[in-house]
Amino acid sequence: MTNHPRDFENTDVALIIGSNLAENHPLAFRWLEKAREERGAKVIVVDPRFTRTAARADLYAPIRPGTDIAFIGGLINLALSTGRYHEEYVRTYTNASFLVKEGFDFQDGYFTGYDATKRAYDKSSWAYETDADGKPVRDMTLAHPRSVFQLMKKHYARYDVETVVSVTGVPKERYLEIADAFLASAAPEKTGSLMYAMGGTQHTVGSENVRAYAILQLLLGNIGRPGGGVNAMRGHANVQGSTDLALLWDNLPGYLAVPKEDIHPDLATYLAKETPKAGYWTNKPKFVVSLLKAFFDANATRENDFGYDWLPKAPAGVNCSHLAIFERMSKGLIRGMISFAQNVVIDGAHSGFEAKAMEKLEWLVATDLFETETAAFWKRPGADPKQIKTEVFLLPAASFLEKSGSVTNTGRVLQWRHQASKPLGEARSDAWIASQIMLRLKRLYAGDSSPAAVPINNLYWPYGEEPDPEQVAREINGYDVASRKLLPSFAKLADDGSTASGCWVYTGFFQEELGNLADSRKTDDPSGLGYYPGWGYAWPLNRRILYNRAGADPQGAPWAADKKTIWWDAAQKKWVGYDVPDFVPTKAPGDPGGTDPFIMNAEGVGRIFSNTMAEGPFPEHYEPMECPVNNIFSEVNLNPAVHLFDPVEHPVGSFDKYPVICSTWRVTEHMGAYTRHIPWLAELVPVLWAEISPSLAKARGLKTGDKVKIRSARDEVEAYALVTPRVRPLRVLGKQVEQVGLNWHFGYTGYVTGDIANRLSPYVGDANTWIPEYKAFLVDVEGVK
Amino acid sequence: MAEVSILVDITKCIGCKSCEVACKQWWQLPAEIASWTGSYQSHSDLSYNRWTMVLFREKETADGGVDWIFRKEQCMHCQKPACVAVCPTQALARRPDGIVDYDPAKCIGCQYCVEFCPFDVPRYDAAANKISKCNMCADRVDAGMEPACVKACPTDALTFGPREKLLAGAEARVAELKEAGVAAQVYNPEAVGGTHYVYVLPQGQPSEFGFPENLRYPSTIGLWKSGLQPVGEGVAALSLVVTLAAAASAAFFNRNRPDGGEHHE
Repeated sequence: MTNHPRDFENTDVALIIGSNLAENHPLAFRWLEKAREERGAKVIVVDPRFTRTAARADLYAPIRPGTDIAFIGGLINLALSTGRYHEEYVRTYTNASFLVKEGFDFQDGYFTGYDATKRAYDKSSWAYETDADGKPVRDMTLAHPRSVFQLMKKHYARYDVETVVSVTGVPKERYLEIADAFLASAAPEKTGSLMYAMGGTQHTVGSENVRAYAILQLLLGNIGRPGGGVNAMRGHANVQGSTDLALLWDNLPGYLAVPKEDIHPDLATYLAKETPKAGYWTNKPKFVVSLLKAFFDANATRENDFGYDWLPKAPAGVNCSHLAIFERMSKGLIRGMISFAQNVVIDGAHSGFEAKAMEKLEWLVATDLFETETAAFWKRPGADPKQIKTEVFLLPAASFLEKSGSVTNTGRVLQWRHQASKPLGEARSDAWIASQIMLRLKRLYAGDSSPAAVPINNLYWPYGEEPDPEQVAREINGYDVASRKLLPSFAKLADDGSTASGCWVYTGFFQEELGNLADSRKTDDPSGLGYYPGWGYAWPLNRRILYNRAGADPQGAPWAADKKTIWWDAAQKKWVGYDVPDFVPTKAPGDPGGTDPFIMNAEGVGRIFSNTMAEGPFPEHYEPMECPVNNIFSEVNLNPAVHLFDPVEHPVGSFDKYPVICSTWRVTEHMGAYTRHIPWLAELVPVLWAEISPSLAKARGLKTGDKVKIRSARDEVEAYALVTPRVRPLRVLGKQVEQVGLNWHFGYTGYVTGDIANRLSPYVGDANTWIPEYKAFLVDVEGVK
Repeated sequence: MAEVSILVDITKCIGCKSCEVACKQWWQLPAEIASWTGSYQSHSDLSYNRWTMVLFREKETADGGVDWIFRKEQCMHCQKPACVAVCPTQALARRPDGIVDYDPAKCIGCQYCVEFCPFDVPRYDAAANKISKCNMCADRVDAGMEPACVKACPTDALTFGPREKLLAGAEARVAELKEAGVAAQVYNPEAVGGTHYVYVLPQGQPSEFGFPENLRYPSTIGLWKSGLQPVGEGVAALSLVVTLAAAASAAFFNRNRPDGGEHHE
């Protein structure tokens, strides 16, 4: 997230949309309660269900799953049409003033450049108008009809309140109350914080949902400021860390693209294609070469492209996301799988399909604390173990208490944890298991010069039989190759092979003189704003609030006296303050680029208009793949850039047969499927229940405690009915639409068991990230006789 | 010794049940995987091995919305603890700091506390022939720590400290809520002389939060204390037991009346 949970205490108003903050991040919610108590902050919750977070909200609105863009688009429209945006911030710190090339347009649900056969866009028209020097042309009056500001205004003028409330199902009065409360943060002295989680992302328009949140926050001048931000509430203690270290399918560590076989034949081409012409990413070659040096050490030389050829390349036209992997597995194209603490039989989309696909594996290594549903997939209910030939190796893993290492929390703060006790039995740390696999591969490939052996033989693997987490941490931080001295900042990384770093964004957390800063536990907070600069280490370079140059006005003074980040000290000729400047520390406000806070973007400003997305430069509402109504904003129902999987393998339900919207979620009592193996947590929520409105219960003759069958076009599950006024039907385009919700924690192992909710979920993903649409699909509900 | 208390601010509780788990963990009480309650509430009732639990109540509001109430239930640690008054063996004892402590070694399983408690808290286990209840982690308090449930509470809905300070804090919080338009109140019922678990309740009657209606200190205790209070631990006198049993069944009868009244007087 741009800010951090402690910073919630500085907010004037919080919009929690697509996040069940109090249930899934109780400790973060603490700071919001503090903001309410001490600053009179308002807490707004927008959620299909009345959750425990909603119970603690000042303003709650139910929303139809899958309509966030309509909801936020309406707020953007209201902000622009009523002048409730932060004018100076928008003009100076965003691309609102940039002109878009002639020829760009949006018609009938499509932006220019759509190719229906490829289901993809040619984005060449989504570009700025440039001058003779190639610099974007700006109109600081924001009046030019092709300025981003006017294009945005035109695009979202369609999102009028009446349309928005009829699409989203939000009661109109409540929508206007929420708009008044949140748009009040446009005042320069106020800030508003936006929190989202997988309720925002797990949609076919998930990435554009987040773009919509970001645009709203840019308009309100809420990014780079205490109490503001676009705040992704990560699902557990180290999700941020795992994405930083490349658990995403299309990234190398530090958000560098996975090279592709067809377009990245060698290092020079990769760097040329992936390095922008301006902004901080112009340093990318240093990060890439340093990563290769960390991988291959002395074997990486300028002559051999620093070992670039040894990196695996994504084959042309092959997507390597979760959905695509299991699709290929189902066709027998994948022989083996190593599953480190992943439980796809529970959390995969259309998970019965994924479990079935695993039957095609020759071998499975499952590394986990318990025998999970995935490790036990071969004896799952309905499977015939005799017919499944997969050889399963279950490796007992050490829990987080039984090993040392860092976790990176949702606020990007690395915190070191020390081993509290020795692992039980034969359990081993993930690092030990990974290292042993590689050591054994190296032994098997010794003396072999086949293409498969070369990368393994050249890989630098100094960890030995018992890996030392601090040694790994040092390598991630990076060092000078010749002296092996740790580097204090990624500014010291070089593209000539003289430095190594396993993840450039982390460089600086482990220093020669200061030691392991993830293990720092200083509790001083000179700002009084909860920065705590000596507690752990926030990447990058211990910055607690990203883009904090935007926390000061163009002249360099804080926007508000009680919300200071950094400010320009004219006497010292540098940026000073409470946080580490996310900016060149000596670049004065009057210098070229002195008012460009978004240093990671080539244009230096926040992008209201972006050409990086698969489905368009502005977020546009499209319906979920399974939807109760046709799209009213255009005739294009489904995001035109999503990939469509085989509808025979993954049937798609229609509203006439499946007239109830379903979404899946978590409860505070459980964490994934693991907590069902812990008696004290298993007893708290012992069964799978389905939350059902009183009206749906009446229509189907159900009462709380009845067994119900929930069917989607793909599968069916049984659950207990929980009839509650916390779930209400929504009025959507004149129709009354019922909804039901299920938690996805249950499965067939552990002290308490129940059906797997994700057997119902659809097999379709976001057009950019391919995250499955777990949050909006169609089902029917009936009592079990 | 200054009195201590726990303040429960219902308006800050998020119903996470951390207090339930922390209690079980500190006291190493076994899990009880039971049939489902039909709500988010973990169990239908307190038990011998469950000394605290969050009650979940849903209430539809006049404007068509829902109030979802999360209320931690446990021993209230009364200023005038009926359980202590009737305990023949001093297994239950009010400490100078106000904690109503319990010593299982002294418990003889007579269950008078079960019958007389105006909040229906102590739970009896036949196999052990003992009762159990929350003792506000008296062991932790003596070691300078907060009770386990308070320690685990993520939102400071639970706070522990000197009674006078917490009571003042409760009044201040109620004033703040009233200013925000919530007809809040402090729940520290005079009927039992006040309690060392003090609640800030948002609008509504205490009974809507699962507290007894017409809370009364059992009057039979007065009768019994005046002439029949046991001395020391010698409680074998048949007449005493018979008298107590009679008093207990009367109390039991009254507690189960729908109106909770004590009409026998």
